Amino acid sequence: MKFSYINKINLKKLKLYRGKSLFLIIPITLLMMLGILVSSQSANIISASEEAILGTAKEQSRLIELSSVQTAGGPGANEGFMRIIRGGSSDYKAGDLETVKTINNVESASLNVAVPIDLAVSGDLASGMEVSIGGIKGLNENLAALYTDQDFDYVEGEPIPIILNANSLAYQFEDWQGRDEVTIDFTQARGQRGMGENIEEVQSSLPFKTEALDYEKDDLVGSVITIEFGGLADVQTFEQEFTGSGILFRKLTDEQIQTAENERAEAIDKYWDYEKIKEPISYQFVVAGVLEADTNFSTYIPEQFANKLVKEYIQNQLDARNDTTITTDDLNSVYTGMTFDGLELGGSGGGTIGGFGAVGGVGGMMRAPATGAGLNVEVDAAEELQDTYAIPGLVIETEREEGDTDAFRSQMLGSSGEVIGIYENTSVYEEAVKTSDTMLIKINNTENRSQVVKDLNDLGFAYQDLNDLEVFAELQSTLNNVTTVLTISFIILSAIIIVLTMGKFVSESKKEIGVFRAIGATKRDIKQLFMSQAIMYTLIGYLFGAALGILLVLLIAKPVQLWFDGFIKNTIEETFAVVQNTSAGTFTGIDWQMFGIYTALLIVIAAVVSIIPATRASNVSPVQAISNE
Amino acid sequence: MANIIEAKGLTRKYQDGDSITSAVNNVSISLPEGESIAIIGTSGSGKTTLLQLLGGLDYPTSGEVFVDGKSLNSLNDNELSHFRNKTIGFVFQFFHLQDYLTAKENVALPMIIAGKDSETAYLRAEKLLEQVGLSHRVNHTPKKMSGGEMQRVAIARALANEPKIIMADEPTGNLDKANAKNVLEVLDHIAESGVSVLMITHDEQMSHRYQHVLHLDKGNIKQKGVK
Repeated sequence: MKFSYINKINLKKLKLYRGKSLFLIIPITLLMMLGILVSSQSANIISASEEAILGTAKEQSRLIELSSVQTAGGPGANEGFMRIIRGGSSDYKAGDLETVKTINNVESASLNVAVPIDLAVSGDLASGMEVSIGGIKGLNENLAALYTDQDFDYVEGEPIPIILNANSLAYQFEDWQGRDEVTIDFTQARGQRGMGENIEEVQSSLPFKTEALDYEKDDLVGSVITIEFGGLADVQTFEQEFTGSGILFRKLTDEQIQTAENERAEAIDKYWDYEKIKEPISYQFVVAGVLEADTNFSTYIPEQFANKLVKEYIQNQLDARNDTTITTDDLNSVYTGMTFDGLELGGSGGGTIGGFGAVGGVGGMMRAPATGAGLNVEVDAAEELQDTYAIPGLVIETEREEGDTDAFRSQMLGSSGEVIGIYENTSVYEEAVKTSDTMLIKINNTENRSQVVKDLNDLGFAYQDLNDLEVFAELQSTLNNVTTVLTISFIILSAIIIVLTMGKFVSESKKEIGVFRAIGATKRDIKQLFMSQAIMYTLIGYLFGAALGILLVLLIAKPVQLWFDGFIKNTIEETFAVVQNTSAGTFTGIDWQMFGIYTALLIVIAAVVSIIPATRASNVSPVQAISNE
Repeated sequence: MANIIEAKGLTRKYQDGDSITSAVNNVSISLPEGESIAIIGTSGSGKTTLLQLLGGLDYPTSGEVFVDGKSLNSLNDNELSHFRNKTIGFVFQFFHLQDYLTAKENVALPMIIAGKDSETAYLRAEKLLEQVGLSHRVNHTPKKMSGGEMQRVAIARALANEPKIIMADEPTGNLDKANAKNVLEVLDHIAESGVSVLMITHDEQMSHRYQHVLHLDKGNIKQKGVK
């Protein structure tokens, strides 16, 4: 019998016995669909982990971020706050850096030195609002892979890469709700409520609100923003008064604000050109990443640029200085426990080269907080909180250590120390001993990571690896196993399905076989008839399964991506602050290799295993045809 | 004249548990070419077993069958299939048409098996259906036909490859009187055209239609007759 006619017969049977044929077609459809779906999504997840995670993490796994702050801050915690808590005494210093560099397999190490400029704002992040950028640190370009997968080199004349921190992306505004005065009464706190609820109530009553920036990470990364450094913030638009049971905030009138502005101008004009010092310096940045982990509160800029920025910032302030010498008396009026020119200074001091602005205090958030190493010039002792200003170039030495040439501490609260000079040029920053609460270490090879971690611990540097890469290795190995198990199951199941259903067809077709044999069909004809049927039905199932499988891969791409991103968040992001983003496109990929393997397997299996029922069919005696049962 | 069927001492035994039963026991038949025979017997007389042996559907336990001068015992399964396809046409009690094929396709099937191209096969199938009075049913599937019509399609199929002999196993056993009569007339026509007809029946009345009659009882020849 011609093969074409055999196929024609099977097509006609398929048409008439559609329901029966589904016994073979549906399982094969499901098997193929599942095969394509699972193998494709496994491959997609594996390639996503390789490209998006291991691609990043492989580089990142050579990096270790040591942090002297071992307590993770909660959302909203800021660098300054953390530093106050631990007093800055455990910061890493040059000596620590040298120690770390002696560890075998450490390729390089660098301190992430905080940029001692606290007034940094951008008007490009929220429309109509200025977002202050806090906790800026210099980051060695070669070690930036831990935080970004983008280029982080500083090229003069081009926008400077910056890695923003989601924890500090917030803006503040005043909301007096039509009132002129707001009293916060702490005695109203009620015991039966939780502390959180009490704080929430106080916050909602305050006329100062903080709103987290609503941003799309994908949109933000790559965008160019302008950030202004230094200058003077607007003068405080309110005054506050302690009432005994709480604080009273009173809105200032336009006249009062103008008076405050004039007082500030007068105080500053004594040593600086007020108009000049008021102007910030600004630079264009390109966002190279957004850190979203709640264990890191820093914003990073290239180290090379950070040095340049600080020097330009100091220079800008020094340029605004007039020739008036800052007197020891003025210094003495704000510092205690410190000495200058052999005289003990009074008052409380800031720690960094300072910007101008009000020192801390309740109302400080509306002003530029002075964390500057500077002298705070007291304008009016009665309103100290509002009206003290720092002097740039003032160098305070604290806890001088052996080997330190000059001390330059990024210390916010220094209760003791020695003011060793007021620098007249930017070399103050270069000569300063830089410290940081974080240190980045690059290992020459991922395999040596655990040994380096051990050596760090032995040297007293606390660090614990979270072994995230192992989690991913496990995921990959699980997925590889899934694919292997799936392929083996595919072979076994498809073989069983074909043998069983075709066996059933043969049993139900004994009469038909007998008639064919009686009217002259050979055993070979019968064998071909059933093998062709098995292959044809299998191929139909294959086509449906392949189409459905591809469709399902596309349909579940988004949920798989969401799961995958969640998985990354829960694992790798705890150690590696930045991972490459995955796009939905990553999960729409079809594993054509496995597709081809399943196709070939299915055809081979259908051809091979259908021999079993087909041989059984060919052995049906023609006597069956005329048995009258 | 040569014999279309020549059987000598045909015996077919079946193992039934521990006992062995003879369905056909030492039967010898000769049927000259172009002549017809009715094999008559009650249920269990062995008449269908005899048809299977004579039609090359089964091998005898002992004895020998010659059909159209060929010893069926000497043919292997493949050769036997080709022989059946070319030389013998079968008509069964339950028609045994393929319900997924039309009347034309059913009739063409033995020709297709023989390797003829489907166009030639369909043309001849249409002619054969016309001969059995079913030219209006050419493209109908068996489900749309009456029993009589189905049996006539089966007869047309039996004639497809111009066989020397038609072997019919109770062809009217499943038909009403009118249809049975019609089918028998068709078979008579075939017999008249020179094709031998071997009719298996339990109906004694039929003996008069055929030149040769063989009565079987419990596998043995009870009576042989020639008109």
